[in-house]
Amino acid sequence: MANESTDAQLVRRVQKGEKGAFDLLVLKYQHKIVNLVMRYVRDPDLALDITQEAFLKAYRALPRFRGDSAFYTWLYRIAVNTAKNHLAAVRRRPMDIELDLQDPEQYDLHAKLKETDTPEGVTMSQELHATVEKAIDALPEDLRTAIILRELDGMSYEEIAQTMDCPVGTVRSRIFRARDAIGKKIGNLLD
Amino acid sequence: MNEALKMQISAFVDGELPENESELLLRRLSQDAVMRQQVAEYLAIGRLIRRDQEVPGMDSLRGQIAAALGQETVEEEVEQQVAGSVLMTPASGIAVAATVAAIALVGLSQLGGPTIDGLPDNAVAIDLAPAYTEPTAEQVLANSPTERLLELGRRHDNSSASNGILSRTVAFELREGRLVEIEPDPHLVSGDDRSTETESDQDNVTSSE
Repeated sequence: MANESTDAQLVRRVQKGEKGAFDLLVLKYQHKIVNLVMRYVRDPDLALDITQEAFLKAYRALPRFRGDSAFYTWLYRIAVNTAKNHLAAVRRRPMDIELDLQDPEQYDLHAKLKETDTPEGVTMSQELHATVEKAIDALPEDLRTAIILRELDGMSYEEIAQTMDCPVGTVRSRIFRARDAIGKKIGNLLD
Repeated sequence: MNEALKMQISAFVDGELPENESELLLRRLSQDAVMRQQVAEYLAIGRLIRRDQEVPGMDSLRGQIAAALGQETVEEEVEQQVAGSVLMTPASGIAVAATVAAIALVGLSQLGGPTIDGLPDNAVAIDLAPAYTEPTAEQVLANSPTERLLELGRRHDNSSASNGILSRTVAFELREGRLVEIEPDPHLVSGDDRSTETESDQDNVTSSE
């Protein structure tokens, strides 16, 4: 999503009392933070709890945040310390058999998520992916190319414009129309 | 929501919105939950296209955070923080088990004017000018009144106010019924220094960001 200056703008809005601005920051970083926390704790539910705790701590400390570092850098450190504090607290409970002491480097995120998938969740996920693939295949070639270059190759609008030999404004329009078309196909499934 | 607005949101999600459009859109996004939901949809589409692994229960995280913040605005939080930095001493006659500190603001005019000495026996310390200092992660987690007090002393030491009055924050401790001046711990690491140390720690964290 947006760059560092956008984060700074959002932080200023939160400091003025606009909770909606914090919701945007949560939207932007929640997946990254959860994936980060899961390097420290294996339980997805616990990772979500720790992530929630990290965001709440960040929100409460935001009035004092002056932007000396990037917001995400600051949030990252809070999340890591929150996860480490949890692990330290678990170690102090000798009778607790659910110790999350696994070495993060040995932890296979994908394997763990597969263990906790429910049959319903797996079915829904497969249906969503199949629907998205069909929706992309049904796009006109220029829209399909634009959205794939953006989402799978991570190209900037400028790079896509050079690749497709068209103006940046056209890239912006094509990506939007591709998303709009895909969104219409999967709208009910996302709700 | 019209198509032009959705296209702006689409560009915003990609970080490609020009600055002249960014400020206005951010203002609207901050105030409009429906528009934010459009942001969420475009982000979800991206994750589906990339086949990002989803953590079960992820969908409810944002709502839980919003619910937890439901009764709390940033202004209220600031008020709580100011109220929390006010330290009240116990009534006289009660044995003091823990250290009680009071901060008095002693002002000295550059022209040699009168000092301001308003320190009663049951002194109250007030965070008069909470500076906007980026708290380190450790500070956020510590949230200890004693540490906040010492941090206040360190920040306000030998500072000069904009009206030209030199001010110095003095900390006192109640010992055996007498106020004794205490010095801030000179070995306290500053917030910036700790940020640097933490950044080097961050470099050692394996990241797939």
